[in-house]
Amino acid sequence: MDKQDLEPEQSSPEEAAAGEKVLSRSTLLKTAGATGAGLLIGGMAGKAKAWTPASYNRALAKNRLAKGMVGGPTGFPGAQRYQYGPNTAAGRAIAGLRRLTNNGKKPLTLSWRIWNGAVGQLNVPFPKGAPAVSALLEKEAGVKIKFIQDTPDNNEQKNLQTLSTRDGSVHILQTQITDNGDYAEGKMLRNLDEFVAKYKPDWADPKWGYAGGATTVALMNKYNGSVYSVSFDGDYQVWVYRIDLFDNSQNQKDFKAKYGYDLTDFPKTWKEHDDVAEFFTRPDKQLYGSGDLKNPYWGYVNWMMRYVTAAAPNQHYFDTNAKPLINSAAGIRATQEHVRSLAWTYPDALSKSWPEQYAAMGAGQLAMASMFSNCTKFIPGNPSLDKGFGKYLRTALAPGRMVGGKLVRRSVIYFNAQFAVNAFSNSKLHEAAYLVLQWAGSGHIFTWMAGNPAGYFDPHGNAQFNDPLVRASYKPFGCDELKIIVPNTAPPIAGMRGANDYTASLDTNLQKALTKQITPAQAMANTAAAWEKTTNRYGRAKQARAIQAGLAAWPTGYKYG
Amino acid sequence: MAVPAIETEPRPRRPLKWPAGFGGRSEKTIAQLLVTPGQLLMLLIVAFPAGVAVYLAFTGYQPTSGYEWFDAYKDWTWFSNYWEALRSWGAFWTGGGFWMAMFRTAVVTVLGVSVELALGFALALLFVKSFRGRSLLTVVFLLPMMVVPAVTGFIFYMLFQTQGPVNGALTVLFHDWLHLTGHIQVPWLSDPNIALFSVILADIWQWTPLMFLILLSGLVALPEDQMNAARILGARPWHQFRYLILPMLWPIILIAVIIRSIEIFKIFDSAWLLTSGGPGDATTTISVYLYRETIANATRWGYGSAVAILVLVIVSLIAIPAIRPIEAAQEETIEELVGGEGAEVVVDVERAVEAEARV
Repeated sequence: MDKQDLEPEQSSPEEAAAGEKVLSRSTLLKTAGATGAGLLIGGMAGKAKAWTPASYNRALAKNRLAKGMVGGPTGFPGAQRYQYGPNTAAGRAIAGLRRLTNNGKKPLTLSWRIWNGAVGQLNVPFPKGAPAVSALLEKEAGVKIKFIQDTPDNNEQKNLQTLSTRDGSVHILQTQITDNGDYAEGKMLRNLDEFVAKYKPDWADPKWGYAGGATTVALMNKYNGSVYSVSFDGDYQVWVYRIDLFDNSQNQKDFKAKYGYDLTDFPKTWKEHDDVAEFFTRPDKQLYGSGDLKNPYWGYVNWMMRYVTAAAPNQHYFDTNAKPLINSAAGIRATQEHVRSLAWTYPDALSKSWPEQYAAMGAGQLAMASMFSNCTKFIPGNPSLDKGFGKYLRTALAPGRMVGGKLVRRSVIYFNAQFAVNAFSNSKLHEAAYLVLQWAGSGHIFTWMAGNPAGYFDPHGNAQFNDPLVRASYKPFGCDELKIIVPNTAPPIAGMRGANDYTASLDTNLQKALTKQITPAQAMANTAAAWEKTTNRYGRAKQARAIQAGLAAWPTGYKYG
Repeated sequence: MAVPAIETEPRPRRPLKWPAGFGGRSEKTIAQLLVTPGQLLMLLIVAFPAGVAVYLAFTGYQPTSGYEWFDAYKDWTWFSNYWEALRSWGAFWTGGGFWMAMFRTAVVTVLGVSVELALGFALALLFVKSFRGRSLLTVVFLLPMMVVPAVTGFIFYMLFQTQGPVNGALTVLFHDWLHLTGHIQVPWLSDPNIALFSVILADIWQWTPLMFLILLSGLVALPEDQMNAARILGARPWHQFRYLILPMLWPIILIAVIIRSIEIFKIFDSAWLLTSGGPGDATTTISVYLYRETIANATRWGYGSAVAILVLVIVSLIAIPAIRPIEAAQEETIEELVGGEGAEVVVDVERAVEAEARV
């Protein structure tokens, strides 16, 4: 590793804090010569522009760290936004890593299992002139990352193999929020509390942390009150709708005539949503009111969004003794609505998944749909998806219900890429693996990463929602809406052992209700019975403790428009 | 200084001997000793995984339990996994559980293999005589078999969309040409009563060629003189088929049916890729059920092992009687070939071969 690469760390803390750089005579001469030559050429070409403070900053950022910064990307305009000082989460992480690598003299190599559709955000340089995230890490701290790519489906099996064979060859594992309980209890995930206390990540920081603060940290990173993984994603369900349909005066007139109230904006309640969906369902014109998924594995989240709004601030899935709460009026009503909504969805909704849904939305076949937040990143302007309707797409928080005079609106997150330290790997490298995650998942670096279109890790913090690169990618309206959606997001069934098992029972019974094999009431009764069996298998007391700890992950209600 | 050569008597060569440890042992013992390592290796390969499965089946082991599989005894449950699977009759009528998955698999097996046999046999009969372009067409008919099963799943996923090519073709036929119906929109993958048949259709498309190939090989190998004799004696095609082709081909048919039954019983790719075992449990065959219980939904490896053993026992109980007709057919064929004294002739031949070997 080049000695020059470690220059910021080698300078004294005072110098680093003041942002002063040691300038040698040769560097001064080289810079002066290059500047003179540049001015001469520019002047000769008649293209030299006025020397403004903004252009000075841009030029500065292109080449080196801004004043007071100890690390971060350089080489492109605006790079200083992602540079960090010594008293930031990224700064503390990089200082820790430098200590572990003896300032890069003893370089480390860590292996990192990651979804192949997301790795681009870590190993593809973005924007033009910037290094890749992984290259910057190697340059700053002497930590080389060896990516082991995998598909999301296969990754689950690989994790089970790691778990059953106690395989320590991979240092950083890819997981999901629903896995935290199982993998932590399986002792595959390293408890990170010790490192969190030592290096103080910025996850709950109002400026650089996750939107929703400590609640979102509990939802994404914690199991049973302890940190086991670090979020690199924001799989929030946002509702997408077409403003060309909503703003059409004829539609507004017809809607008012049929339902007796105005079609003004995205529906605020599920009742309004169902009216709007019914109104826009015109199969003869290849238009369907609501394209929310109903297929196995994915469709249940749309049931959840209806269910969790049945109480204020939240309708939970279990009580604190791990008794199911779904076999209730709230659960049955949500199921009835879920089944009824099939009438407004495109044909084959029970088997179609994300690819078909994104294509249908881009082709103007859907008036509304619940989608991942990257819909505004991937559809508009994408020739394979956008058939002229991308520019009409807008996003909103899911509808809700009036409960005790209050409107409760909730989105639900699920899946969500998490990374964790493999407890079976060499324990001497656990700290380094955690520090890599703290550094890459910090507000500074993750914001830079989230703007990179080479992968599908979505933003989850206000720093990202306000960032020009992210806003350019996810569209300004998409980012502004996420500021409201994230703090109003309820968890799926997560933060406990067997989360996938519970969810699968629910999913299967919802599928049966959707295909009229059983009634909504039977679906809830069957699911509750299956949940009880699962709870008894894992131990009720243990599950109850996890549920109680998981209450911290539920939103208490934030203001929305 | 040159050293004079010393002439000595040539030393008698010692006769070759078995190593000391083998001394006095018979050839049979030595042979047994030599094959023992290989046999032990085979035993390890076959018996070890089976032993692990039997062991885990008595436990409530999950990889998420926090201990390794060999410590699974910490959650020893005796026969409760078996009992849980066997008593799942209660869930039969709601479409869930072990027995319903077994029943669905049996339906897939019986329907799939029957149709594949009928189509494969019909095609084989068409292709047994030479005609222009036969070689090319044979290759074309065998192509589906060469397609990766996962790709077959995706192909049929697209074909079976409600607004996809299959319904489009049916609409052209029944609506546009015959004016019998409106636009046909069969929910091939979304209707629990139809989805299983969609899965079977995908399997039939892919594996009829195998049946065709096996039966064509059998037909081509039939003794031509007997067929010619039948024709000369005036046997009609149906009689040739009923009294000549079918009996002679019977062992081949049985083998083809058994091979396909064993294969189709494990059907997974098309069921998972077309419908993920749904809607609900509608296409949850036993392989999908096991995958759900051990990987996709839960990680119940103890229960999964018990179910796998139950399946093995049940399939063996069905397969053993099914294989007997092959043995009987083989004996019949030998008798037909060498007359009523077939068995004695075989024994005589074996004796002759042994005698020659001794010489």
